[in-house]
Amino acid sequence: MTAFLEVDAIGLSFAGVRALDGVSLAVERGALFAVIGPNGAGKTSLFNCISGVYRPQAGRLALDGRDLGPLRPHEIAGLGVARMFQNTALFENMTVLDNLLVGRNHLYRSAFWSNLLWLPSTRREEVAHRRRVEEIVDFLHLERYRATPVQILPYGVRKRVELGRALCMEPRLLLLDEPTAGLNQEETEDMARYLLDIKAELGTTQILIEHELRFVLDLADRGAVLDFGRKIAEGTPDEVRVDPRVVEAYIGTARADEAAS
Amino acid sequence: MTDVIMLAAAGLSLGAMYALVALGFSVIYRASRVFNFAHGELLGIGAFSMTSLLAAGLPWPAALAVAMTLAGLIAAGVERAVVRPMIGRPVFVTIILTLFVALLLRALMIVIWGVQPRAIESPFGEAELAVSGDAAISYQTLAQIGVAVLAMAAFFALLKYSRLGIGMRATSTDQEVAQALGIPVGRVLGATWFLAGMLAGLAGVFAAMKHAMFGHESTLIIAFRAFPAVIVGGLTSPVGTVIAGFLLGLLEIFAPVYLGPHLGGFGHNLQNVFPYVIMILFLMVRPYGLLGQRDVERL
Amino acid sequence: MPTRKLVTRYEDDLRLFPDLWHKVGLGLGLAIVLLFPFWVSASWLTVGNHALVAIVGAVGLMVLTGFAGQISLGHAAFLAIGAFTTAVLGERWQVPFWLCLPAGGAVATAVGVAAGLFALRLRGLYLAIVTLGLLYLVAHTLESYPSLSGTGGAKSVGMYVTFGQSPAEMRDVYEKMAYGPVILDWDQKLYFIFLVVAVLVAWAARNLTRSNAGRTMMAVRDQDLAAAALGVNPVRAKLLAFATSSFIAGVAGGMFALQQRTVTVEYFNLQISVEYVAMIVLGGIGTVWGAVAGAVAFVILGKLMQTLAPSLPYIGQLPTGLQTAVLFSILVIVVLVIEPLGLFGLWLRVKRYFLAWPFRY
Ligand SMILES: Nc1ncnc2c1ncn2[C@@H]1O[C@H](COP(=O)(O)OP(=O)(O)OP(=O)(O)O)[C@@H](O)[C@H]1O
Ligand SMILES: [Mg+2]
Repeated sequence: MTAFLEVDAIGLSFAGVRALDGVSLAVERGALFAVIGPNGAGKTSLFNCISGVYRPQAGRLALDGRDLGPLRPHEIAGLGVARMFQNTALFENMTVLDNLLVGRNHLYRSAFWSNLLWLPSTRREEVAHRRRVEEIVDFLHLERYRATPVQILPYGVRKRVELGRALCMEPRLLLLDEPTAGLNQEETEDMARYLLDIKAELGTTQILIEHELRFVLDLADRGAVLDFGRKIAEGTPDEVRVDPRVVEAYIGTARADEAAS
Repeated sequence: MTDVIMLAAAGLSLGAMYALVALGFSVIYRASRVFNFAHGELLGIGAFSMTSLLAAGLPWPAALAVAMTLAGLIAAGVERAVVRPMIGRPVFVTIILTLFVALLLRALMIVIWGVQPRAIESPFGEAELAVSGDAAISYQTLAQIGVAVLAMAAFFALLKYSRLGIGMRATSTDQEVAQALGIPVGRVLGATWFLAGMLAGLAGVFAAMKHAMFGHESTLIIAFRAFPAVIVGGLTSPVGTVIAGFLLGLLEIFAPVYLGPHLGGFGHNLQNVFPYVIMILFLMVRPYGLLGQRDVERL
Repeated sequence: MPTRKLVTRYEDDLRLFPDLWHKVGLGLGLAIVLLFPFWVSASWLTVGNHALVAIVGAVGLMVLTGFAGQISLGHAAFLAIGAFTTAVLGERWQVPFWLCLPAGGAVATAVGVAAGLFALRLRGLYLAIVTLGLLYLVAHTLESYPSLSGTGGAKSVGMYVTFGQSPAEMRDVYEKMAYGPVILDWDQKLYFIFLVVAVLVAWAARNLTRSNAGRTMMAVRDQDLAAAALGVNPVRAKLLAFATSSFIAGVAGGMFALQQRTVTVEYFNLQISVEYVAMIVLGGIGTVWGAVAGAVAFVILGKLMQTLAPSLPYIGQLPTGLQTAVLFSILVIVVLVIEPLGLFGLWLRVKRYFLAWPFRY
């Protein structure tokens, strides 16, 4: 049986740094999979390999049985791989609506000519996509900000816009790079609820990167731990929590966790 | 053989001029992240003030020093008045800004020196050094190459060993960190532009000696032919731009002679576009120039 | 003052003139624009024609630089290609002007796409310098072949109206003529032709901004890596921007040639490219209105400065060509320092003031 996303022994190095070293993962369809690890462990690099921004020098990636190796980033996105970035990468000078609509780009069919001349097909298409975008606006409670340029939005809202933009892609695989970093308690809880809702309502497969063990392990079905580019553990939250190598890599955090729970 | 030697000398002296311009360009870019399109006008300031100073009876070395200082001061003034308030603005804003500053400087020069082209007499007269056979190189050409190389060597020594140089390198790497380390970033920027302006002033004087008649168009032509050197060398690499400056100088002299006749109508006045052709071909192979650094973007 | 109409259908949100105020504005604007050539003196009519050419050119650059974020100093090259294509087609084959304009656009597009292919790997300043190189290359190529650029560097431009006109018959177009009840001289005819072209071009560019094609360009402008990871093909977006922009610029060049009746290679220099960049920066980067407002402001200010400059101290001493350029430089520098968004920013301030009226913030 093959998993939905298969990461097979990928390796990636930059001048002198081994960002990923033989990492393998298998993520089942519909799962909420957590990737944990300290700073510089290679978590973001893993996402960059999945979405084709970096080409791993070794190993193989496959989504739903299809090899991702030869594909360029926009082609991979076109297969339904959506992303939230660690340091928000919104289109700063565009409105929230336009940001969300860009997410739907790969679903547009009308030709450039038709856009230029505002032919009926383009008009219909714009309205249809707008309809779906409005549903996501409702879901994420972004109504007030529709026409606001994202550059003036507060950080917590920007994170939501990013999630919305990813959802607009009708993703099959959602890559979430520290979606709660920098958010306050309340915003973090909201974000957690959104992720659980996405899982329950849309059944989208999600991979979630987090620093904080407790947050992810409460949400996720399974998780893997990276350290210095290597996978040091994988399993259910309960397995990961007590894995001695994880405790070692995470000594400070782990102790704090133990104390807290 | 005779031809080759004479052409090489001409190419090197032209290249020395480009190298001076390109070096200034690149250090300004590293410091302020601005491509200073007004650089050509600094050549003009150097050359025209030199003519006035010589006419006023100043001895050659003194006049050169004053002319270079003047060009440096103008550069520092431009930095303080126009460029510094623009930090953090989009690239095209700084581009048109420096282009318009260039226009204003040109107008200023016309108001002061009029529109008539001028010439600077060489202190060596027509004296030539016989090399081999019929080949002879004028002392002026040799002196130009020598002075330019000296000036650039002095500049690199300054960059490497002096406190100011350390400040300049720190500032160009990361302004905020430099500021936090107690480096007076504002003054370092001013000094960078001043030094770059001096190099440009020197190049301007050379240019005025090379072209018997030096007018307001000449500065533009020279600076715009030096741009490709900056790009080929790699914007952020002073050493790269110097190498590219010499290379392009040589190529510009050799190409019309050896290549031009084979290109038909296109080969006529080939030197006008040749640096750009080289640049475009070169960028196809190395989009960040010879020694330039790729700006890494991360997600 | 009423604020916006309540939008109940998504279609309404996509309209260009959604509510009463916009429609009133549209009506007023149309009336002014249509009556303009009958009200003003010949010299101001020429200014109007210049403005229309500038609008088309500026919208072209806005697509490339304002939407797709690709900085170009080579805009004048595409204008030149359009101008000389129009001139050559008229001279050789007596091609009517309404075919020359799109043909000029098509040739410019071919060059633009080639340049765009090359520019894909470059960004920011590197791109600016390479497009500058393109400008020199195009100018050099034109100058190298007198059959293209005319002997002595100047080429006269004919304006044929239908196929099969002889050069002698063609000259009628420059005469005064009656069209039903209205009598139009040549400048007025040109004005209406240019008006149609300018409106079409601005409308098409505006359509880009409200549809997927324009949004992908802007996404590439703001965050190209993230855009790619979200499914935007950056190569396609950039090439489409290059193609559209150079087509429009080619048309603008053709219009310029028709109006001038003689074109020289020299005219299409860096200064022209810079003027277009200044127009879109002055008007406000990223919107079609910005390009239109910037172009109109540029041309009108240019005319005013031309009359003003000779009487100013110092500036009056300069060669005439430089006088307006200097005044304009000062203006642009001041605007950039105090209002980064250009005229569009000023407009936003005014609008905010009136929306908040009678309160002040
Ligand atoms: N483009 C790049 N060029 C050079 N080195 C890189 C690049 N991208 C990542 N690295 C290096 O690879 C290593 C892993 O980086 P990565 O961003 O994947 O870590 P991370 O686990 O996401 O860390 P964090 O928790 O801080 O986000 C780091 O040492 C980083 O410096
Ligand atoms: Mg990371």
